[in-house]
Amino acid sequence: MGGQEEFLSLELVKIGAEAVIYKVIWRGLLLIAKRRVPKPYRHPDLDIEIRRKRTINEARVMHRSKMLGVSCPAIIHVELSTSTIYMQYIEGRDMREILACEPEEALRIATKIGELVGKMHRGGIYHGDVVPSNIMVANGLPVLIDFGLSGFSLEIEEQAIDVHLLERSLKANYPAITDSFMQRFMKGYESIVGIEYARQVYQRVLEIRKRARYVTRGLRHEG
Amino acid sequence: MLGNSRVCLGIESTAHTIGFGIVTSDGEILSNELETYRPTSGGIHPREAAQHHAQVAHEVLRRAIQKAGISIDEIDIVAFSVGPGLGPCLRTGATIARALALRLGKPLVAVNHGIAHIEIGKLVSGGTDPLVLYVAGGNTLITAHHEGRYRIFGETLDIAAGNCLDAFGIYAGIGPMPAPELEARKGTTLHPLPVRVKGMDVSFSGLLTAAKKLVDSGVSIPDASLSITEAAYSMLVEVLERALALTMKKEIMTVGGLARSRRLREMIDEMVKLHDARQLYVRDEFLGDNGAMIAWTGLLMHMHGLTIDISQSKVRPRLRIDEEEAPWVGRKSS
Repeated sequence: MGGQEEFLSLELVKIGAEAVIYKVIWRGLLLIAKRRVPKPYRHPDLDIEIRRKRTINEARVMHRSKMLGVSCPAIIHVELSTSTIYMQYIEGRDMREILACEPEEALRIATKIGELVGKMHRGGIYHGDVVPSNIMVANGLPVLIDFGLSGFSLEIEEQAIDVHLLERSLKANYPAITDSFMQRFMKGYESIVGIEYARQVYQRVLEIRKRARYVTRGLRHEG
Repeated sequence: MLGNSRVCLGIESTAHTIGFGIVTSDGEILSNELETYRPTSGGIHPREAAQHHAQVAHEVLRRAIQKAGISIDEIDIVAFSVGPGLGPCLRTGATIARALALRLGKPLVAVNHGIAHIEIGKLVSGGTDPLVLYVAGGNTLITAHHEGRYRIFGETLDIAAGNCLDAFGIYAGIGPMPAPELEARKGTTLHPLPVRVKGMDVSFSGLLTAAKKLVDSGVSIPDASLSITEAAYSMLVEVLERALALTMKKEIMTVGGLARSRRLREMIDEMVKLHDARQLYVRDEFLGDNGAMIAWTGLLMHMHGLTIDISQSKVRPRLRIDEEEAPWVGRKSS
């Protein structure tokens, strides 16, 4: 793969707490570039190390997810010198919009999201931030984006946190359809991981909910 | 009573410090006296610390009253630290508080130690609605007032940041904080150590283990100290930045013993420059455990009728900051 100059920056999409997202063109293809920016408060050596490690982790998890059949953007290129991941641009709708305007359609997709998360968990991956703003819908099917907090683990705790965060975020923003959404989600989830495992995960979700420290978590996705 | 203002005596004894502070309802700190138990070797032993507190309490209280320039009968409210903390230490302070409240015939207020750190910080720094990083030997959390109480946005998943650095210093033979930070200033080479951040939560036990291994492998103490302090502070400032982006608060305040760190303060200054926020500075005297913070919070609680019957005044070693309403915080966030 060529150097940085081959990527034509088009527009700035978003400035997040950790990374900046751009739309770029590479050999005629529209891509998304996720760049982890240096933090001036960190010691420069540590800063480079942190950005490098996290970039590698995110790209690895996304690549592995793809191999497991989890719908997510395809990795095109990783540039460690600038800690940038170039990935497929997903042409689709924001799940939040569907939740707000088309509840029937949202419930149909809920089952599909359950299947998608199930595949990921079965393959030993947790996303770390499964919320509507990180779900796009293309051709009627969900695509998971932003793997910035993801990782490899088969622990029930990590997987239950995924389910918990989704439910918490739905409840804060779309309370009327949360229950039926989660029912469908769990149905799709269970069809992949099996009834017994799904039950264990949900049992843990109930435990997590009782712990105070997660109460405010879903907050960041409100509004 | 002093004029129209009420006077509260606050008793702090959650860990190695016993403190007595006297504060008025106008926010005037009349005195803030304390003594700290210093173990001859190793960590803090709860029962020995409690014995220390019991031995010196009388003298510290006498000093606090003398410096405040009042007589003991002028005290209107007695407040004590009810938790979180070490059981034997908490019970020593609580026993003194109960005895005083009974003898003086004054109301008793049970204060949440973590909330008290925040309230005294706000009082002395002039803050109104800050995002708070509370970092000490036994606590590491990020909190802000939201819908009636202090909510926890992130916290440590294992050991506290202060505990991590203290344990490292003791292991390296230089002693607890601030020794590792002072050594770090002499360091030249940074060795990358595991930085574990999960959402707005942090984890320090892996960092401690890895830093000990650095020492074992012959890395100089200044370099190992530089490596562990930079990694630990980076984690704290990163989650703080995330919480700032989420809550959109305009003020950041760091409290607790580890807030005395100059390097941590400097890093937060760098971080807030990237955002529309400012850092509040709290004087060292009010960062660590002290009696004035209990007295001031006791006053705020008393104003809202949050007194406690002696029969209900059992200490709560595992109390959390978000377990109680904080109705005196007027301004709503969100």
